[in-house]
Amino acid sequence: MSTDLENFAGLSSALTGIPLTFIAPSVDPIDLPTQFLAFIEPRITTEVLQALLTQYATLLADKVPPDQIAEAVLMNGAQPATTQTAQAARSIMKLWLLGVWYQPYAVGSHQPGDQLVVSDQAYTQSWAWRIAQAHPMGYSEFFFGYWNEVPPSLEDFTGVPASGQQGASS
Amino acid sequence: MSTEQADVVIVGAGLAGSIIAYQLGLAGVKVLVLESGPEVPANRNQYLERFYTATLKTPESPYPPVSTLDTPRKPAEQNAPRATIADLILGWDNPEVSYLVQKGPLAFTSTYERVGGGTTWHWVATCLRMLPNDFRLKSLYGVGVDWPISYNDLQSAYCRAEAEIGVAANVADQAYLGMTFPDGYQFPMTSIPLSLVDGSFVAAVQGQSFDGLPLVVSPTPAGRNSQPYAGRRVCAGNTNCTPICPIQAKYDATVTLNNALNTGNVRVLYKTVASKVTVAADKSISGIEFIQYQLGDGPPTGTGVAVGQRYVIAAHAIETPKLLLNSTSPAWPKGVANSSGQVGRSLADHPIYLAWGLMPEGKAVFPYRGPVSTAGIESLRDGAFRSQRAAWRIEIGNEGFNWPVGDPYVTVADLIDGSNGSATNPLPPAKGPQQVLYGTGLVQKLNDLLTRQFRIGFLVEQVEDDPDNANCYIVPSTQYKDRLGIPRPEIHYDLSDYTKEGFRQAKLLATHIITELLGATELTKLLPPGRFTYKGDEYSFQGAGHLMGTYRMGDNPLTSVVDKDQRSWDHQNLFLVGDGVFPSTGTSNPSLTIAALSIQAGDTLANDLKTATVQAQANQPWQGTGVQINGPSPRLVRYLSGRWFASPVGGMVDGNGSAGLIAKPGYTLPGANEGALIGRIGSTGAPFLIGDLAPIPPGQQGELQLCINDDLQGRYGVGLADNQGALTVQVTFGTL
Repeated sequence: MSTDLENFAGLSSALTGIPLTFIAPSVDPIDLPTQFLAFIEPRITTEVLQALLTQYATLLADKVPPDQIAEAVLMNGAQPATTQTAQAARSIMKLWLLGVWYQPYAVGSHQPGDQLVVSDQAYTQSWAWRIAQAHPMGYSEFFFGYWNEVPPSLEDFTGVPASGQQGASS
Repeated sequence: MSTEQADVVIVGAGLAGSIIAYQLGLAGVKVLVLESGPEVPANRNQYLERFYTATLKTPESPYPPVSTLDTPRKPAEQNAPRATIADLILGWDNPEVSYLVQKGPLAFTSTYERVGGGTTWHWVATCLRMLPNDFRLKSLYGVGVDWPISYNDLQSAYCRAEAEIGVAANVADQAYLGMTFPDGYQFPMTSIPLSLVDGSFVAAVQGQSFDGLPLVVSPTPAGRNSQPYAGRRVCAGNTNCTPICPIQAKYDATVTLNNALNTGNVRVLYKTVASKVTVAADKSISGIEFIQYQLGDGPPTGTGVAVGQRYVIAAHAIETPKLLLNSTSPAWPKGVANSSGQVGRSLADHPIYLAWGLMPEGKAVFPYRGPVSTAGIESLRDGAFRSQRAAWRIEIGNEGFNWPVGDPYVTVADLIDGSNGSATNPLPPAKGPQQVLYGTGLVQKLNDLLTRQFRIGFLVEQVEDDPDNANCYIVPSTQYKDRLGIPRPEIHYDLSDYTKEGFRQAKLLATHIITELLGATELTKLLPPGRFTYKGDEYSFQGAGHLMGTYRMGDNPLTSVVDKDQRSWDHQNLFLVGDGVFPSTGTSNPSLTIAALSIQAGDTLANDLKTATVQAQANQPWQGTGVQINGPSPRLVRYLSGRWFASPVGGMVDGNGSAGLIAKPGYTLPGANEGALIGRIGSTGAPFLIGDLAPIPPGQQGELQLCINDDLQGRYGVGLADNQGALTVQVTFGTL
């Protein structure tokens, strides 16, 4: 039986499309899944978190593909679902992509619309920049002049091939 | 009240103040700098950390006092508040949340820092020179105001500023629209490579023109390292020059400030807010009163007065006039240095016309990589059109929609939530439906959108219709104060039709480039709070952070505040520096010109205090002058008066010696005129010809020695024994 942390990492991967080995690599000194899980629980409530993780674990056990798991969590037909689990899931997606927590609904002192960068690592490891085949502004690990050359492929950055592949290699 | 003494008191530890402090420190002048904000941190990690964790990543976000939207800081409760983007969002015309007390009719949308190092912490490092014609706008085009100096007057100072900042550029790329460089001149570093975004513009505008002028993309000269320079690292393309370069590959004034401190002659009092400039009965400045604090929102911890022989206000175009106008007295009811009434007047910026678009499908340009900007279209900065409308330069951005839209945040939210804040979900002309994405589809769509984004910014020249009665100005507020009780700046801001016509033409060209030359989808829309309507169309403008005007230089004390040396017409021991002295704005980002002018002011101040006048005897061999030459400061040796001769045959001559009598081998300087004035640095330095005026060769350190060009060894006769006379010589600071 998977732990909450494993289910959270798997759910995060299904929602964002970033492969699990990129979301939660086996050697992971930063360990954002643990940090994020601890951060979100009081903000979405334990009940909603457990509902999300259970939904994910159940679908996974049924061997539902990741994109269909995401659809089941997020959508109500062709429209975004308005349940708290769906709202929380969308905030979890933004957290991974941007490092920012967007409070989805009121919980205690946390009000809808509240925004918070969870940590410096949440920002520097956020995925939107890598999806752009770039780096977080202010956190380049590249070398002088790299901007004059075509970047490595989207797949190199994220493990996801581009729809029309663009980049130096794949 | 404490009293602090120095030879020179400088207000402001930013670019201008640091450069002058460094020059004076090298000259052996004791300098005290009063800086309103906190000290330069031991390393930049605390600022960087604040940036990383800021939700609102504005140019000010790394720096104190913290500026956020969720817990706004009330400017009335801050000891050294400053204008911020957060202020503009929270309420640009609400003085409860905006430090600037804005009276309109338009919003003034530029911001600045009050910390050690000043606003260079968050500049893009663009180091364009002003064009020769920018200095004579009135003479050539009948608008604006001429400068009292020309491009050529600034040439050597520009070179020195480029060395101090460390500018990366190639002369061949920069020699356009009349800009010239000294023979053989090379910038300190080679140019920064262009980005792929730039490359798309290079291809698109090739052979194209606008208004009869060619469209040419030029690499932007940048105060950013393309190779290791001055102990700092090479740019790693963090795309974050603004708000903060994580590795200091981009120059900021803390570099020069540290150099100043290392001279041993400069000290800085941080968290020390200059509150009043006092004037003696003889019209000279007698002191600068200040208030000190420890916590940004805590109580004052002390007061004092700084006293010196010379005073420099280097607090830019808002804080400098605020201080001067807050310094009224019965003898100076209009404030200090303000007999012309021009202090605070002609506040200017380079209001920016921002335009953006999405490249066609399949044409990724890969933004969010490299420095924030590496190229621009500079070929339209001057032309006959300037008699009719404002000029501009076009900055090409490498940061996608980060500035105009707030990306990647907005596009990410659009695709997750099914919203369309970015106007790319869907792209116009479609109005719907909005996609809601997740999983691999989300990654692929985001990648497709983010890699095709670009933006351009037109930096528009701001010209008043009637420059002597400007519509843009700052006065101290009679109602709103900061925590120290100092009246805050009240801003009145408007744009002339001349400037607005520049916007109209900018909009036309932007759309032409985006839609026709690039084949892209234009997504430009109106943004708050800078908005105006002109000829039936609405426009919005962004602040460039280029605060200019408000204490302009000129050649007429009735219509200007300082002379061409940046010395107050009213107070001979007061200098006002920074871009407040700009009589007109041109289109170049102002920092390089600020640096060049500050270097000239530094020379003037050093010469005021440390010019050495010495005598050289004809009948003596090498003579020490007591003047110590130290490498970084360029010096001049000038013949002042007197006559001498090296032999009765040549007769009495000045420093140029006897024309036609060429010194032989064994003379002080063979090949030069016999009897000429010769110098060397230290007893082993190579002799160099001074004549009546010469620069001291750079790169040497030691005592300046002087000598007549003669047969020192007596190889051809009696040597120095039959010489007569002496010359009086002056050793000054500066360049030819």
